[in-house]
Amino acid sequence: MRRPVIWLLLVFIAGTGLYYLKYRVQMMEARLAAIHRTLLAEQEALHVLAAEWTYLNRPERLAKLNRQYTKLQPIRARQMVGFEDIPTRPALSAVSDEDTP
Amino acid sequence: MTGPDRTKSRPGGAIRCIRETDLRGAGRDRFAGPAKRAIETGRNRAAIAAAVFALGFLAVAGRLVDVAVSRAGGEPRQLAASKEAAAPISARGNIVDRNGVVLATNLKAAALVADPRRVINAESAAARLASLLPEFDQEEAARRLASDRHFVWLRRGLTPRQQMLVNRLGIPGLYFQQDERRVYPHGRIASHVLGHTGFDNQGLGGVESFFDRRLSGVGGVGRDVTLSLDIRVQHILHEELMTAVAEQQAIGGSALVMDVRNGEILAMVSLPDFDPNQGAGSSEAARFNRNSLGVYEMGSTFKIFTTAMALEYGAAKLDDLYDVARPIRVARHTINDLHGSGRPLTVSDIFVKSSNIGAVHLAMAVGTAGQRSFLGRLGLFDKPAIELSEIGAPLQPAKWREINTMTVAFGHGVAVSPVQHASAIAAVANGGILYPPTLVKRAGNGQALGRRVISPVTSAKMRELMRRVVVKGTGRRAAVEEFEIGGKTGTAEKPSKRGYQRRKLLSSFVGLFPIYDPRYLVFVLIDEPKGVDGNSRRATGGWVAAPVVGAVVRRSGLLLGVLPTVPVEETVDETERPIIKVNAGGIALAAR
Repeated sequence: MRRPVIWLLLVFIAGTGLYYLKYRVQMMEARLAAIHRTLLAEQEALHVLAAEWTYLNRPERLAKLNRQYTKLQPIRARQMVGFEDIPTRPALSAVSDEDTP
Repeated sequence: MTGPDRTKSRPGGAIRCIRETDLRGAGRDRFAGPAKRAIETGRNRAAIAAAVFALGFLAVAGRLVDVAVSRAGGEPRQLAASKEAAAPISARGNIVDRNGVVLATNLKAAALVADPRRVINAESAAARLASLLPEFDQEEAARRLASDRHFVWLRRGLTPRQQMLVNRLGIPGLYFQQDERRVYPHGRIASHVLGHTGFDNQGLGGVESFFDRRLSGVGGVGRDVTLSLDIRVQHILHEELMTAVAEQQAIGGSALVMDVRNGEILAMVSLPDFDPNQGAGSSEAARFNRNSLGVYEMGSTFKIFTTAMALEYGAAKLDDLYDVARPIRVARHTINDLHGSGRPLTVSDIFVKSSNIGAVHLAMAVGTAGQRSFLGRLGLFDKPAIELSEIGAPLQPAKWREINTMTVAFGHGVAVSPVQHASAIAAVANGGILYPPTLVKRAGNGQALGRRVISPVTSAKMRELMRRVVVKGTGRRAAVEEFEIGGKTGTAEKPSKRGYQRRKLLSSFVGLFPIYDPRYLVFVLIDEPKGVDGNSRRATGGWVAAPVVGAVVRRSGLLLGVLPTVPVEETVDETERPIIKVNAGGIALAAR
């Protein structure tokens, strides 16, 4: 009498467990598919935005906007120096030179 | 000793013995003879069947574990999901510049299609569409809409805005289909390099055509192509050349910027140009790439090769004097100088003053065979292996006579494309290594591809000569304050059926900077300039092309990572003042 009850119980537990597992897997797979769809949509959007960004950053357009709205001029080569050409603090070194005999 | 021990220690050995005797004892009582044998057979059969079933169940169990545990269960569904989300992002790969800026990409677009049997009034539908869409063939559309087919194409590559407007018309029987459209965000500034694409996004011309297979890819997903181009430099070059060609009312022009250390082309412009977004609608003349497809007799820039050749072969030294006072008469021709010199000139001055007569003397000192092999070594007789579909084959005399050697010395009689001309000059200046020109960003530094063509010593001499051209010779107008440019002017008369035309010139300048350790070459050629201030005597390379090179160098030098040379007098008395003057003289700075 005892044995069949245990078996029935086990069958019931296993069946319920399997059902929940399967159900959850289905749910997760549906979510995964949804995420994939969003991902593709986002990639598509990124792609369009990258093209638009490039279009808006055309050098000729930037030059035009610059003429229209700012007084900026291109950097002249003379305004660039190498790091080694940047002067160190002359005032400080002069002071320390005088202090130390 | 070992025998008895083993039998004793075997577990169950004794027990089985007992049970066997028991069964045998019982069996002997109840069954005997044939009955016993039948039971034995039945038992064996049952055992075999059980074993087979057990194996079967084991296999099922194994497969269950395999399916449920070992494999990723989601795989097939993922594929379904991505298919569901319609078409991959873009089938054709992008073209980007050396810094990753997009030069060509694919965007989704709508194609307008119709089911004519559902269209109520074909005439009015066509008229209403024509009012929205530019260059829409109304009659053709009306004819198609009136047909009794199920499906007709009306227009491909609608912009989202056009799609919205057409949708708003609410004409029954019109549908949209997903389509792809090739877009060139930068418009026409790199048109000849990029080329354009046809209706089905197949590459037509330029890089699009050369890399068509790579861009369209296998299985629908193409790969990107990274060019050596720098779009900022390309913009500067395009703008400067446009200005010069417009000012000179020239019929066209070409220009390029090349890295002399590996042959990479950073910018390349050919005018007139076209908008690749409307590639199919442009004229043949506009699509002609003067840099690679056009071959020209370059004129005096060829004296770079003549002089380098004479020095390399030891046929002349820099201080050797040549008599250039008398014109050279050969066959029916007379070779003369633009600005004659009454006194003999050194080889150095021949180059700096661009004397044709002197160049002829130098070439004759080397001889025809030497000249041919030298120019051949510089790759001037072969098609350049650049990644474009339009490549022109250079032209040379079918049979080289003395007269050919003489004219080729100053750049007439051999026609080459600007691309191969530039790489040969880069080789003369960069220490003597010829790099094949390329439009694709080199993976490494590209040094391995180089081939020595002249000695470093000759190259150093040529750099010095080219610097003198800009300091005190024909190329003075290329000089800029910030960078040390060296170069050579070229003015060629264009050939016609009846000999060379005095009034129709190809004026060019090739500049290298910084000349004593060359990094970049800038070549500018203007086709039929009318001359500065309309003065046709000021239509030479030194007048019209050299200033363009100077302007390009001044504007792009910093972008290309070349530090300006520091003039001596400024550094002496500036110890007290800060060197970096932001907002100097009321001029604010822009990072461009």
